[in-house]
Amino acid sequence: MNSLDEKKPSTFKINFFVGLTLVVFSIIEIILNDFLLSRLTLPLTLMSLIYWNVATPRNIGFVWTMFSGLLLDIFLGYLLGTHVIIFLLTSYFSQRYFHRFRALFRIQQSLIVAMIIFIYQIYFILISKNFSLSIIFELLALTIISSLFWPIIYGFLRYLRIKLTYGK
Amino acid sequence: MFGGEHKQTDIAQSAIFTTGSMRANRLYPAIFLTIALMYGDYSFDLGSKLRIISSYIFSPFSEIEFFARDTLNTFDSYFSSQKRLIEEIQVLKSKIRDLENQNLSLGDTKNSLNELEKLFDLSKSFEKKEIYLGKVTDIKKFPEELVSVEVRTTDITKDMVAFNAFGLIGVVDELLTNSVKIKPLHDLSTKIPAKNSRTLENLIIVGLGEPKSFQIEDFKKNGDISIGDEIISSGLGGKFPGGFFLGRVTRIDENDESNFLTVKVENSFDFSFGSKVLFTKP
Repeated sequence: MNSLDEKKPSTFKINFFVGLTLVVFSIIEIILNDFLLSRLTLPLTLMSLIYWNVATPRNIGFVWTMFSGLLLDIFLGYLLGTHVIIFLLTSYFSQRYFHRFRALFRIQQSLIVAMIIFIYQIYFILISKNFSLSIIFELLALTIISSLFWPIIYGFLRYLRIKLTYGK
Repeated sequence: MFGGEHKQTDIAQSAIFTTGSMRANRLYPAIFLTIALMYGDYSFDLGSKLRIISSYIFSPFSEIEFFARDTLNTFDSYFSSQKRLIEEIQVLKSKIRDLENQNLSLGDTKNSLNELEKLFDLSKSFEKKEIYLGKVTDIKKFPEELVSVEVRTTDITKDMVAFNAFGLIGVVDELLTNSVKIKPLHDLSTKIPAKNSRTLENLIIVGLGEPKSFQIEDFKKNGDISIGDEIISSGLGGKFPGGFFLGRVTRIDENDESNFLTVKVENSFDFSFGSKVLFTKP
């Protein structure tokens, strides 16, 4: 018998840590938005959301997704729901295709995440109607940086999930 | 070697057509709510109200930066003001030290001036005699008392006597280049022609080798002398100038086996006093 099965973590505990990491990443993203000179941001919340949806799809609902999206909308000054809607769609697709995502190599996962982030950033460029050559460079740069960040975020959240829920 | 990759590929192949239990109809309420939220913000500016409320709620957190900055400034100003105070104290201490040194220097100057004044008064009594001033450079204390004096003249001779602010204190013992060594009047080898200022009787006083102590040589038992008599130099013999105070009779001892009295004379002159010495010929 697997030792992890003997002591299953409570849903509350998982939900708590999901919420906590999403809120923390949102705050970091808000702070980074002030510090980064680019118009786009490093979507740490989105990556965290993808991880949790893929790692514990049954436990994670849409509440934290909406909350973190709302938090970003409020503090980044977007129309309410702008982040929420894209987070909801990301959560939906992540939960629907988590089996396939989990089966991929880390580098493949990074590429998928880069694609999601690319679409996410284009969504914000379209909303802000800010079309210029420089923003294309920013888009490409932040997409590459974000894909490089994925293994780090994945490893960190996985470590946290195991450590905090199983105490191992 | 590639076992792990094969396993991963197998899992991927089996998972490729697998989808999670998430159905789109579970998403619809959330999407509907979000659209309602967007409409609410667009139509009623809900976002601004929420931002104002959240700014109130999170104001303690947003003020952390200012609070931290204020605290840092307070610390900085506290330590910088403390530093300024310390520096000020150091400057004041240094000033006090300088003033103390200045005070000492002024005290020395005052003493020196007093000494010179006394020497000047003393020199008036020499009338037309040539006088020379010297600066004390070294003092040897009892038992072999000697004062080394730096002089800028070659006119000083071995027959000269030395004065300090008290009066007559010694004779020239040795002449060196640019300096003179003086031995005190109370040296055992010194014999000074003197007289009792009360009786005007001529006497010879000799040094006892102890500071400020003399003895009258061969004073007869039937002589007129009493304790407290003032002894001054007589000037006889030309070795010492006349009229200078040498001391007072402090003790008279009578010995049955001798025809002479043992008369002790003491003065209050400090041989090693002062920084200037005046030389003159008797």
